[in-house]
Amino acid sequence: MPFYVRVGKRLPKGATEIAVTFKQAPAVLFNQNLGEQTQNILVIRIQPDEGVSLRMMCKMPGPSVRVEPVKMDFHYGTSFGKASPEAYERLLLDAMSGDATLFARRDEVEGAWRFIDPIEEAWHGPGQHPELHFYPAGSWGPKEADELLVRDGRSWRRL
Amino acid sequence: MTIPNLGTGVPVELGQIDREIKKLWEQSGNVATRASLINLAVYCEGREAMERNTRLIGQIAQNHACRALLIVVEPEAKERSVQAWISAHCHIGRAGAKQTCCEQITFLLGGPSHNLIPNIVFSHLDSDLPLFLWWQGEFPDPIDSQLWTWVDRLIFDSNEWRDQCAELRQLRASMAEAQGRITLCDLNWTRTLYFRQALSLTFDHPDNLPFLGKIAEVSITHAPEYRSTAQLLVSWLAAQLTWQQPATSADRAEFIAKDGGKIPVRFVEAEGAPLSRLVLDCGEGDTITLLREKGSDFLRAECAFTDGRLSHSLFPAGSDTADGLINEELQRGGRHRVYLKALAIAEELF
Repeated sequence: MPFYVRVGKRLPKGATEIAVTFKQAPAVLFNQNLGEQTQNILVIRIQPDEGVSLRMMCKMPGPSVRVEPVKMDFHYGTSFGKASPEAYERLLLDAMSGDATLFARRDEVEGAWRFIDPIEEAWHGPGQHPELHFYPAGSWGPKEADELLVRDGRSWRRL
Repeated sequence: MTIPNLGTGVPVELGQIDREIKKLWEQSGNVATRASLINLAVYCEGREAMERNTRLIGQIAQNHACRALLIVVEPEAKERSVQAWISAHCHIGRAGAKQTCCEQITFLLGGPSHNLIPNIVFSHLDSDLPLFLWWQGEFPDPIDSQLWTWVDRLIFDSNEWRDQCAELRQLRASMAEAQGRITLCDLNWTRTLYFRQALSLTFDHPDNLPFLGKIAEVSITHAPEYRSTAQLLVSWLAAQLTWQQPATSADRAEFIAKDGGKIPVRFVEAEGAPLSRLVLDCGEGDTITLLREKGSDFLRAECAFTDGRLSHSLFPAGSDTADGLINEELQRGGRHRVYLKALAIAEELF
């Protein structure tokens, strides 16, 4: 099962989400090709606007086989009448009360740097630099990021 | 507290749009339900189109819950600028029910700003819902092909174009470049829907069906500015009946039927509805006529045969208004394959 991670600074929209894209269901029920991009998607929104949504393909009422996406959406903010605290509100409170659960441990941070350091050294060191792809601020990232998924017959979700 | 309908809306800073929309819903308390099944982006040019389209979106939202993005571009503006407003369209479905509300974000883009649309405007889509882009008027040349990678259904009215062939060529080229899988939705095609339905239902009758293969001549009466609508209707007939090789002149076209016979088509201009009359001459005095009388909400089908049979039927005529056409289009799904077949022929007539 492939995992794709998309991160970037100065993108047009700020969102932290986990999207589980289900395999395309066989169209045996309708015995017809239902077209492209008919996968269902479960999205867990971490921030902002915490919640869970399920995008599923739904056959339109009527005799013809037409499938359109519909979405079931759960928002913490609207369901419980109050918004979750902002990220740092919670962390500051935890720091004051001595709860380290949501903080990265020293060995975790050092492990992350052990992964990143060789990459950074390769970029700054002599010899063949791996190619860096740039993008204008406020755009959706370099086209190479899109091509990465196109090569696998996929595309990024529209946020 | 209820959410008021705010006209064009409350001005907001670009970076605060989501926050302000959230505030808007929080103000509603528990009396309104936010609903959205699609993202509907409407592109138009000129500030005067803002109010008209806001009204239209309000009418559309009554039947099709959506997040609406109104993109108003002022291409003549000297400096690039972006302004935004938010508003809500609310209505009550039945007595005592909660208000159902749809949100609208309006963007006013000054200067040559088409390339800002994916980055600034489409970052405010309701994620995972399909994007319907209603492009009013002609496409800019060149079109930013990246635009199409976002869009699921592109709605346009080919009757608004001065040169249909050039616009379609340009659209196809940019879509191919973007490798987009857009469904093309032509409101000009929707305009022919009730004529197509009435004609199909007329030929569904077993007494009339044998005359479908005997059509020898076609005459279509259309309003002066709706020639392309009439051409699309004829193209549909030709595509469905596998007529070939149209030859055209100013007010005529000629097709070749499967049996090699020539089928002349005459276009007649008359004030009134976009399409007001369709006469199919099936030879030897047999005729099938669809007629929309001035001001009528119905199409009258009249079948007159030389053996003395005469029948009349009434069919709904649909609406020719912008909101009527767009409402009709939004009810439909699928890829519009029949349209694409008809369009291939219509391009030879335009």
